[in-house]
Amino acid sequence: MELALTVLAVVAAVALLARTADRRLRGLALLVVLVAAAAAAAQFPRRARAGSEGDPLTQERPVAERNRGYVSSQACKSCHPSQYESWHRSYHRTMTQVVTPETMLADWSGTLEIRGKRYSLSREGDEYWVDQDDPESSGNRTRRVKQRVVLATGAHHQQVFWVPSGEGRRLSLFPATWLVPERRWIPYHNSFLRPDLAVEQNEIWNAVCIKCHATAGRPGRDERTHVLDTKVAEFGIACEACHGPGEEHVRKNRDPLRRYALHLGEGGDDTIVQPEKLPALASAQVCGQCHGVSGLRERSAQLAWWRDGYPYRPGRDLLETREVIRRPKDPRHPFLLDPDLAAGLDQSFWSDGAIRVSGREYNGLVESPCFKGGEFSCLSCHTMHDYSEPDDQLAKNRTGDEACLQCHGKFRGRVEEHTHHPAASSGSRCYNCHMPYTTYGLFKAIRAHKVGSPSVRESAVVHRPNACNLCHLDKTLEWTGQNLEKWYGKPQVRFETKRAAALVWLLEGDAGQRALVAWHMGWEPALEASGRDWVAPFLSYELDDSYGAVRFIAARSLRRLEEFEGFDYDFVAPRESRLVRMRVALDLWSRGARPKGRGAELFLRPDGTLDVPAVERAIRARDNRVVDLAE
Amino acid sequence: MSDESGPLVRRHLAFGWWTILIYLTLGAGLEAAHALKLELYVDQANTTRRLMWTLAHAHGTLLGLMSVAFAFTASRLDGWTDRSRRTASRALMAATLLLPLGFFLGGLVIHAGDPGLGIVLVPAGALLLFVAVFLTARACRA
Repeated sequence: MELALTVLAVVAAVALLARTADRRLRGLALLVVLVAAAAAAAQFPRRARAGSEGDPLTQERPVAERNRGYVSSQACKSCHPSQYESWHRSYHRTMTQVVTPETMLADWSGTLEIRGKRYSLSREGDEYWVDQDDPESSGNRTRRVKQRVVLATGAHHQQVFWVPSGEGRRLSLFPATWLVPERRWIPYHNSFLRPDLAVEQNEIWNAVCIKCHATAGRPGRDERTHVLDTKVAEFGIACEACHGPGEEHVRKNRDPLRRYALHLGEGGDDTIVQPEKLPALASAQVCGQCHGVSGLRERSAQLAWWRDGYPYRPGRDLLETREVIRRPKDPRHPFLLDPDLAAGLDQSFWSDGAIRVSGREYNGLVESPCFKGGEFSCLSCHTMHDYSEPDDQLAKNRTGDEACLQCHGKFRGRVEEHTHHPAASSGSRCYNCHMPYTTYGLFKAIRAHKVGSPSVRESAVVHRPNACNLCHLDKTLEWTGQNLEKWYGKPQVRFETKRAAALVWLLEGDAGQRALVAWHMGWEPALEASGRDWVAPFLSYELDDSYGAVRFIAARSLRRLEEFEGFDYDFVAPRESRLVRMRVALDLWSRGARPKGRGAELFLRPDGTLDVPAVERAIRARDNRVVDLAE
Repeated sequence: MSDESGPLVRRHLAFGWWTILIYLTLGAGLEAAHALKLELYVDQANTTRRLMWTLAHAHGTLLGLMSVAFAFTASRLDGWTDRSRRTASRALMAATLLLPLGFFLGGLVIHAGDPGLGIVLVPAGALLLFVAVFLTARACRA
């Protein structure tokens, strides 16, 4: 088309000027012809930009396609510029991106060595390549391949990459993770809370990530060949993930009369879902389709998923097509009598049914007393558009106590009376007691979304650290129980140990507990409440934890202490090296000022030195069950 | 020049230059809103308002210039009938009032990606503008 128009313009100009005998005008006509010829030459096909629709590699990776009623966020932009902009700024958008120079955050150069395998990274123009052992081969038949990186997952804390498998649009994992804030590579398996020696699995994007990191993902598995022709409506979590397919909405609202009738009227637009206007359960399910643990009941549904993806659409009942997994509290429940199921449930839930891994907040929400009132949903505190900052997407007026006081107004102005802590202190913040940081994800502790009240009984029976002892790291469960009994009439529980609860969880607990406590030892409110002159040796011992994620968190918390700022330690270095650094850290602490007025509850002798045999006994008594918290 | 064209020409010159002054002032105001980063103008949620008011400024200024050009044209066309010239003059003046005003009012109250109801003045003004330009172009051929 452009070429035809260009030629037409040239012919018209030449015809016009040919009527004159003026030499200057004929020269001008010749110039026009030359310029037009150059413009026409520029129309010839060039090599398509990496990641664009013309890129030949789009045949070997999932692609975005507008069908099945989906129109993509580009269709929303012109009429909803503010909402588009706030979404564009969010991390939902960047959960999956086609790899281009703009989306690549990693330093894609040099050579990585992971579990004895070598990966050479290179860039050619806008393309990113890795030379590695073929991920599709195994054993002694390994061959080297050079593959182009085509998709990236994440852009906030971590970025993970995918390469074409060569079979349909199936993508295999590149087994290294780029840590965005730290600007470094780590082995992929170390990015989760799982044992160092866990067997590495070749993740498939089309089977795992597509479920939640894209909008309306469709694996597209051929029933006969099992080749994957994967399509998505859009990469990342886009407008239609929450508002439903937008084709009808766009089509009908091309009519300006309809639009102005809606603008000036009271009713809503029934051609699109507005989560804010849904009943609380339906609204929460919009988020819960991804931020929850769920599964497909029947085998036929699972087969259909492989072909067409999830059938759930916002506004419908999620439970029509998915089973939201809730850990039964009754130990005789069939789920818990099946060892495989029970093991899986243990990984994601505390024994009272509270979720313990992040990204599954819906499961916490539905267990909350607040939810039973029928008005509590994710949007009670969070917003997709008018948020204070993209990290948590809390609504602007919900970053503090107001999130709770909007319903529990009777406590307004009576905070100290209720909390028994100074009003301005962290102990008087609703969130800190009722939504403590007891779920794990992405190398940090995340607030529990099962809203509850602190309970030592929960800690004793369920083994979940409670809010009080996660702030008062230096106190025992008995101390907490006494205060809860005095202030709120909660029944006391007898405890044998006189050690600080946080240290019991850190030294003897499972990896999930250790990660939570290590994180809290770097949490400023906890250090203010508990003192910071005694935590370093315990964090130092965790530099040799058998879980990389725990070591990472311990090191980060350690570096927040003044005398350990910039402490040199690599959590994925060989164990011999880590042990050396652990001893250096212990030695550094022991040469500093001794904690005063502390005692055996902190494994300290009266002179302030560490009771090393007692600490090592506690570590030997550690709960070493396998924990695998894959958020 | 006919007896009627003289006052018409002067009217259009005055109308045109005053229109330019008004919409130039609006333009200066918009620049100030940009410079001062006034939320009601620069905020992402007010993209439609920014577009509408920019269009008001642009159309108003250009239509003012058109009025001046119309005065020049009318003074040159001795053969232009009084009726046709009068119709074109009124259509152009009405368009100059309605078009930019419609954009401005459309930006006062906005509905996300849609302008306010004042925008309905724009197509009316556009139609009148077409009439004015058509009549003027036809008069040039006579």
